[in-house]
Amino acid sequence: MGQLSNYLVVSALITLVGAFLFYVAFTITKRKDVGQYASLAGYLGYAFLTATVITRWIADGHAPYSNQYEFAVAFSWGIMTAFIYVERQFRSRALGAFVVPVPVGLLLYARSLPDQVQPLIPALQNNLLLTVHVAMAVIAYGSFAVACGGAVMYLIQRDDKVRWLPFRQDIDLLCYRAVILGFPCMFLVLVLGAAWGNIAWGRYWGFDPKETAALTTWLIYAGYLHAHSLKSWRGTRSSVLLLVGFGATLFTYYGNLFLGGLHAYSGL
Amino acid sequence: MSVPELVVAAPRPGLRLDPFTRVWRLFCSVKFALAQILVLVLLTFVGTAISQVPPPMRSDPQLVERWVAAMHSRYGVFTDALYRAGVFDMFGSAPFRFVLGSLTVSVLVCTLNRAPAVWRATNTIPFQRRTSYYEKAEDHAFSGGVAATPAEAVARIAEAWRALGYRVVPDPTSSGAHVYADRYRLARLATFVSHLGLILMLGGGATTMLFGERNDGFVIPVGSTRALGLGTPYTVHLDAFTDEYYLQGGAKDYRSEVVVSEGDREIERATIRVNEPLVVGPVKIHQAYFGQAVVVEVKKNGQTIYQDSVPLAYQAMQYGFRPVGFFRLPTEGLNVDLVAAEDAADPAVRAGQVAIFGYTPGDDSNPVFGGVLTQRQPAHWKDLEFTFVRETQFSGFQAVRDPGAPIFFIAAGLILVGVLGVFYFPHRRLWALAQPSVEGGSDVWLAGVCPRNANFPAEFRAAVDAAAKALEV
Ligand code: HEM
Repeated sequence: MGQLSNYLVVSALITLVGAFLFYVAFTITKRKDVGQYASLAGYLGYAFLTATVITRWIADGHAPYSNQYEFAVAFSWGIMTAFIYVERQFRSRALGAFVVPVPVGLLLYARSLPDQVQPLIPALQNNLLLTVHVAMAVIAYGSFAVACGGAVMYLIQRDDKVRWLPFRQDIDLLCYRAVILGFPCMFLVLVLGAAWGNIAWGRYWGFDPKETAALTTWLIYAGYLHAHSLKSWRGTRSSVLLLVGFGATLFTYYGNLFLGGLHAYSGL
Repeated sequence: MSVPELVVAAPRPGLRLDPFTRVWRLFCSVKFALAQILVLVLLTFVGTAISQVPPPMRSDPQLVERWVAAMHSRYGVFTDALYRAGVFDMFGSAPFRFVLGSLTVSVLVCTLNRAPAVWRATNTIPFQRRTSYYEKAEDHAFSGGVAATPAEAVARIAEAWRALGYRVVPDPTSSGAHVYADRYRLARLATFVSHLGLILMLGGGATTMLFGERNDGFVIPVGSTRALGLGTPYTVHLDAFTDEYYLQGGAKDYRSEVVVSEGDREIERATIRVNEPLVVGPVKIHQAYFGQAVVVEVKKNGQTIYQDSVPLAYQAMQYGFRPVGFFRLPTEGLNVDLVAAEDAADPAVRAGQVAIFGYTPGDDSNPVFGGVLTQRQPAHWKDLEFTFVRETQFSGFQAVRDPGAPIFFIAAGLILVGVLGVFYFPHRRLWALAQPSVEGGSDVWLAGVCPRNANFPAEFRAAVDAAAKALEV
């Protein structure tokens, strides 16, 4: 099962590279059939990713979140989930050219990591809470990646003169949409983390570096939501906040590589 | 001659405000809120990126100094400046607390300021009677020459929208030619719920800091009993401790079998695991760590004056990285340290032995005696006889009494409800206007508003379709 999961992840990677190329071609040529191929490849890649996660889950006997490899795959899955959700709502294929490279990069990174299935240490055995905690993180990070792709589009489209991109008002709405999906999920990441800390150590908050990084990320998006409600900040400035926010997301995700702290033992 | 009247210009609003109003306005401003949030972001980021003094050291200035000295290797000449600026204890520092406090005031002021207007908005019925409103609305529809009188047309639309789940308010003042309908109007209050939740959450944190109590070093050797403390009358006896490992070597499970008693009365028997704390009254007991303990017996003139397990759960400077335990003999005016081998290769203490040092209370640096105890071989000092009876294990717990935790999680629930309310159930509003048409029948206008909601156009279309069906057009 673990082996099957590894084949699937390679299939996902190849399909997503294809999807990315189609999305770029579509953005440049605006040909409808190319756009359809792009979406099709995107869905197929997503299906492979989903199958990767499921087979890995079965191989592990618990949700696949016990090391950096599994989380990189799950993160890619989260980005594709948020992307497909937003793409379908807004019928905005140009977004694909900006978002799909992120899961491609993550999967390449995942391929460079050790991928053995590992048993869980006692502190990580609180299955339900942790599974939801990580699932929420995956969706939150995914939405923030999509919002970041949207923000890049917005900054290119600032004065509505770029013909191959949607109107900036639509891009702005798309980013907002992605954030209001990710923001409550990120909040749940924090709260479920707190609940777990409260059960394991009787401490719901300890300013552990990883949890503080997650709080910083959440606060940036709270900042974005306030900025978005101000006329003078909506648009360019709020888009810059989305780039900063995704920077913070990546920092949170990779943070323990150089932060240490309680989360270090899970490798996440 | 008439004296020209002195004309005093009324102060223009927004110009000469008294200081209180100015501060009030500042705290109401979303821009100011945004600025504060961004400063908070900056501070928390610095607090994550730069090493923080580990919490157990914070209360001891000497340990903090030693830690800061060690940081010189990382932060070089900036170390002292960083230390003085409070950066090594960012989340306890004055700037961090100041911003948190000022944000709290902002949220309160902003809420108080907006509450009346928002409350009014949830309760007023904004009828729209001008066709121009309908033409300019972001989502709107028109149908001319509908075969019904305006009153009938509006009554049918009202019926259709009610069936869709909207609250429908016909206009009582204009013979039924206008309708207002809405849904989720209470969601307008959701922003208050989330922001008040935020304050409550900080309140929970403050409650934990002020009234919570914890003992991270609640250690019980197997077979021994210890008072739980933290204001409770209970004692905890450790029956057994088990640690299990995977074949590959990783830890699989730690568990302690305990008995809780009050005086002689047994209250509860339970197993405590890493993710399964035991709740005893207001206190939760969490499995934290474990290690080696030694059973010692002390006799004086042949009579046992002390017999218990001593957990080697600590470290002390003078013994390096070796596990240390201690016990007191108050009647003898003696504190005793027991020190185990650091590892199998330790030259000072061998496996199956513990080193023993006696001190007079108040003087931790000059032992009055010292030596090595080998299992079951009594050793003597003056008229005392010390025996290392056998080895055992201890289990280390964190005992916690935290009245702030429930507040914190209730607040989290409020924030979540508020945020989901704002994002996913925003106040949706529909209007219909019917006027007599020149060709007979009625002209019907429909409009709908729900800002920033990508799903609303589809909902509006459904409302339009329902109205069209009711009007048979
Ligand atoms: C760390 C502090 C804060 C956090 C985490 C926070 C969080 C949020 C969130 C999540 C939203 C969007 C959803 C909702 O309305 O509930 C929001 C909106 C809002 N916040 Fe805050 N807030 C904070 C501080 C403040 C302060 C100090 C003010 C007052 C000046 C304020 C005023 C507002 C207003 C007026 C809105 C509605 C904006 C709109 O129309 O979309 N917030 N806040």
